[in-house]
Amino acid sequence: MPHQCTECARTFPDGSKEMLSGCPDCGGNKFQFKPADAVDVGAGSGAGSGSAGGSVAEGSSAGGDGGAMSRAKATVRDLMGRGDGDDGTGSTASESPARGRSANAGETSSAESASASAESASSAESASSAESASSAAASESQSSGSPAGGSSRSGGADTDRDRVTPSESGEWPKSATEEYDTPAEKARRRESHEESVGTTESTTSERSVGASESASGASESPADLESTAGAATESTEQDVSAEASESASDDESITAQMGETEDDAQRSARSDVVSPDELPSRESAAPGGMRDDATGEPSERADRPPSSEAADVKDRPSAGDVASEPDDDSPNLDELREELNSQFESIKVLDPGKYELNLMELYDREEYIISLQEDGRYVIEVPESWRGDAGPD
Amino acid sequence: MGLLSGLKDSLQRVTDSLFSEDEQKRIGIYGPPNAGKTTLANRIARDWTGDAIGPESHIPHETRRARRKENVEIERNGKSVSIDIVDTPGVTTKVNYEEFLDYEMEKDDAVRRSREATEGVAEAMHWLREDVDGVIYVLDSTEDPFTQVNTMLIGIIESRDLPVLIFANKIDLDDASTQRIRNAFPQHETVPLSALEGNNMDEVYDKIAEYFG
Repeated sequence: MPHQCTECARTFPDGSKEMLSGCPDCGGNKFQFKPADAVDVGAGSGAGSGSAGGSVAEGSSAGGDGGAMSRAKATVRDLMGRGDGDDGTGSTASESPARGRSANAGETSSAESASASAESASSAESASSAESASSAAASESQSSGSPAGGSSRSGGADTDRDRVTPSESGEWPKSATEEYDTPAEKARRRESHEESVGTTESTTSERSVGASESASGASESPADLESTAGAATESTEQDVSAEASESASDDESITAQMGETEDDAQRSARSDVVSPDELPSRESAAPGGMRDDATGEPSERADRPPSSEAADVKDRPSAGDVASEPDDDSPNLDELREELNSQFESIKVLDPGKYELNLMELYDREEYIISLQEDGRYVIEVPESWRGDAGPD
Repeated sequence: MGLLSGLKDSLQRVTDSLFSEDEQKRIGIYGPPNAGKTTLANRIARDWTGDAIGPESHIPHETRRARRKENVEIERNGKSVSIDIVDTPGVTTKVNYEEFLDYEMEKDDAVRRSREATEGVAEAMHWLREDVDGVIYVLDSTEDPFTQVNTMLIGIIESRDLPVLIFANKIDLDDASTQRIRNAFPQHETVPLSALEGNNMDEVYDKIAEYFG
C-alpha cells in the first residue's frame, strides 16, 4: 500500500486510479507515498488526516512554494498559540494543528524532496512570509485574547526551528510516513514532551520527516534567522533544552546546536501532532485554511490516546478537515471522479452497442485490442501475431 | 496460390526496394467516419492497380478493419512513386448502435456493427502508432472540421512528425467548403477533391508523390 490519503489514512495500492480524483472516502486530495515498511497507520493517521486538511488551503494559496509558505504561516500561527502559553494566557493548543498542517503540507505534496526544496526555498522568504502570516495570526490571536507580540516574535523563532530540526537531526532521513510511528512511540514522545511543555508533541518525527532530506539546504537558514528567533526564544530556552534531552534519542544534535534558540513553540512544532479536536471546524476555518480557534486546550489532545486518532477521524471525517470542505462546494465530486477514472479506460462500454473511446489511451497502449466481448471484456493480441493472421488482404 | 502470391509480393518488394531510393512508405488514410476514406482509397487503388480496397457505403463505419493495398505505384512527371495504402476505420470517440438503426438495420446487426466499429477505431489508432509512415487525413468538407477527433488525431500525427496531407473531400457537394478546412489546419497542405466524382485527382496524386514519394 504505497499511497495513503493524508486525510483519512485510506491506503491505495501502487498505480491505483482511485486516488486520481481524490480520496473516495473523504475527498482528500493529499496523498503520501507510504513504503511497505511503514505500515503502522494507527496512531499517525489521525494526525495526518487532521493536519492535512489545513495544508490544502494553505498550500494552494501559497502557489508553487506552498510547502514553505504554508509552513511559515502555520509556524507563526503555531507560535501564536505557543506565545499564548508563554504569556500565561493558556491557549496553547493551536500550535499543534498548525504545525501538523505545515508538516503535512511539505510531506504530502511529494515526499521528502518536495519539502526539501520548499525548505531551502523558504530560507530567504520564510522570514517575510512568516511575518505576514504572523500578522494575520496576530489579529486572530487578539480576538482570542492572546498577545499579538508574542505571536509574531515566536513566529520567527519557529520558522527557524522549522528548518533546523530536520537538518540537524543527523538521523537517517526518515520517510514522510515517519510521523506515523507506532502508537507506543508516539505516546512516549507525547508524554515526554508533555512533561516540559504541558502540551504533547508527537511531531518530533514529523518535523524531521518534512525536512530531513534537506539537510544541507536547511542547515543554512538557522543562522539567518537566529536573530529573529533569539528574542522569542530566550524565555523558553529552558524548555527547549529539556525537551531536547527528552527526545535526545533522535535529536541530540539539535540540542547541541539549537538548544539556545528553540522555544517551546518550536518544540511543539517539531514534536506535536495535531488531533482532530484541535483543528478548526470545517465551517469556521476551512476555506482560508485560517484558524480562528486558537484556543483549543492542550488537555484535549493529551486526553486523546494516539491510537484512537485514526478511528476518531474516520468517525468524524469533518473534524478540522479542510479537504473535505469541497464536498459542500463541489457536489459533483463523484461525477468528476467517475469522469476522471473513465478517462483512463481506452474503451468504455456504456451499453451493448454503445461505446466511448479514449483515443489517446488507445493510441498509447502497446497491446492491441482485437475483439470486444459482449460482457465488456476484450481480447488483446500483440501486434506481430495479429499481423501474421490478417496479413495483407 | 496464396503462397505463390505471397512469394510474388515479396519478390515485388525486393525489386521495388532495388529500384526505389527509399523504403516504400506506408500511407494511412485516416479521418472521421463517412469522410470518404474508402472511396478515396478505392479511387487511388483503381487508378493505379485496377483493384479496389474495400466496400464503400453511406452508412458510417462500413470499414471496420484496416485494409491495406501494397505497392501502389503512382507515376508523376515521369517518376514512379510506390506506396502502401492503408484504409483505416473511421475514428470517433463515440459509437452508438442506434445510429445504425436509421439505416434500416436490425438491432442485432447494429449492435454488432457498433462493436466492430469500436474495434476498428482501436485498430486504426494502433496502426497510427505502429505502422504508418505518412497520413492522408480525409475530411468531409461539408462538415465542421473543428472536432475533438480531428484535433486529437492531427495532434498525434504532428507529434510523430509524420508527413500529412489533408484532403477536403466531397467538394462536389453544394455546401462543401475547402476554406473552412484550410482554416482549421492552416499548418498543413489541404487538397480539395471529390473521391467519388474523381475531381481534382491530378493534384491529389501530385501531392501524394510530393509528400510521400
